[in-house]
Amino acid sequence: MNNSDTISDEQINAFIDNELDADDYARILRLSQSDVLLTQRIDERRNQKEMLAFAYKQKKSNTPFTDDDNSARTWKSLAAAVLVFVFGGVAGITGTMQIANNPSQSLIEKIALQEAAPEKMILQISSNDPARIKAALNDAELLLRQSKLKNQNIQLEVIANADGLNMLRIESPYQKTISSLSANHDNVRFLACGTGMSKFKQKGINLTLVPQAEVVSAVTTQVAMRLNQGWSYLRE
Amino acid sequence: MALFNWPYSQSSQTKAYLISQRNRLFRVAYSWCHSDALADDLVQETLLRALKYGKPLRNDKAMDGWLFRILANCWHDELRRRHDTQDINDYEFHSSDNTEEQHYRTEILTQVYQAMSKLPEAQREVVSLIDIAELSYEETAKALDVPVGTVMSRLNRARLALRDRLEKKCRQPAGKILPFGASNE
Repeated sequence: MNNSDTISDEQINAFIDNELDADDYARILRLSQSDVLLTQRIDERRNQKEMLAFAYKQKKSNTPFTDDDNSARTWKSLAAAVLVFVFGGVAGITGTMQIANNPSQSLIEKIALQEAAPEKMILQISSNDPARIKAALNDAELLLRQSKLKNQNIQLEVIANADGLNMLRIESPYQKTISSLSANHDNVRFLACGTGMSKFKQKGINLTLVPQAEVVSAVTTQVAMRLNQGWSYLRE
Repeated sequence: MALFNWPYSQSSQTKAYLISQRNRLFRVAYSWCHSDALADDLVQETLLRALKYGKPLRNDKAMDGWLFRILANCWHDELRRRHDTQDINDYEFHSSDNTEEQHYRTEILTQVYQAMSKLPEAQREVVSLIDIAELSYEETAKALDVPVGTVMSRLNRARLALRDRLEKKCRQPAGKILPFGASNE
C-alpha cells in the first residue's frame, strides 16, 4: 500500500483548504514528496479549486449601482435612506422602510405587520410567477378599495423590474386588471424599470407596455427616492 | 478613500466594508442561481438586510460569516418562494470573444458554470462559499447553519461530482448551462 491510499479525499480537501493543524499539514506534505500518486491527487484538487475560483471571478455585478455617476448616486441615496431607517430620523426624514419578502404573507398581511399603517408604499415585483403577480394585484386592489371607502389618502406605486416586467406588457393577462385599477384609483401608478427594459432590448426583445405604465430610469433609483421621501418599501 | 459620506463616522468602516463585498457576494449568488438578474436582486437584498440589522465591525472574518449567512437566507427564501412555480428556460452562455485565447477562456467558464449548475443545491452552496467566497469550513457551517462535518462531506461530494463532470465536458462541446429552477440530471 502506498501513502496515497492512506490519505482520504477529505484530508486532501482540508490540506488544500488550509484547514489542517500544523502537524497534519506537515505529515501530508512530507508524504507527498515521496508519493507521486498523492501529489497528483493534491494537484488535481487544487487545480479544480483554482479553476472554480477563476471562473466566477470573471462575474461582476451589473446592477446600475456601478454603471456610471448616476448609479453611484443611486446606491448612495439608497444606502443613506436605509441608514436613516436603521439609525433613526436625520434632518427630519423618518422613513419607514419594510423589507417584506416572506413568501407566505400576502401584501395586506405584510402591511398589517408594520407598526403604523403606511400611507405611501412602493411595491416591487421582480417575478414572472403568475400566482404571485395575481395575488399582489388582488391585494393592491383590496387595499385601494378599502382606503377609498375609509377616505384614507394613500399612495401606491407598483414597480416592475427584471422578469416582473412581463406583467406590464401589452399582451399581459393582467392588462385588464391594471387598466381597471388605474381607471378607478388615481392614487396608484404602475412603473417599469428602464434598466430592465434595456436588458430585454439587448436580448432582442422590445417590450411594448400597457398605456398605464410609466418608464422610470431604474428600480433602485425609484426605490431610493421613495425611501428618502419616507415611503414604505414592499417586495413581492 | 471612503466610499461614501456616511452620516455616522463610527459605523463608516462597517458600511464601507459591506459595500466593498458586493462583487464577492454577487459571484457566490451567481454560482447558486446562474442568473445575473436574480444574483443582483439577492445581493441588493443582502446588503439592505445587512445595513438594516447592521452590527459593529469586529473584524473582516467575523463579518464574512454573518454576511454570507444573510445571503444564504435570502437565497433560501427565494427557493421557497419559487418552489413549484418556477419555469425558466435553459440559456446559453454567450460571448463575443474572438481570439483563440478568449475563446478557450469562454469554453472553460462555460464548462465550469455548467458543471456547477448541475450540482445538488446543498453541495453547490458549500463549494461556492469555500472556493469562491474563500470562507473557512467553520464560517461556511455557520453561514448555512449545518455542522462542520456536513460541510466537509458535502464539499467532498461536490468536488468529486465537479471533477467527473469537468472531465466529461473536456471531451464534449460546450452545451447549455442550467439556470436556477431547471432540473438537475
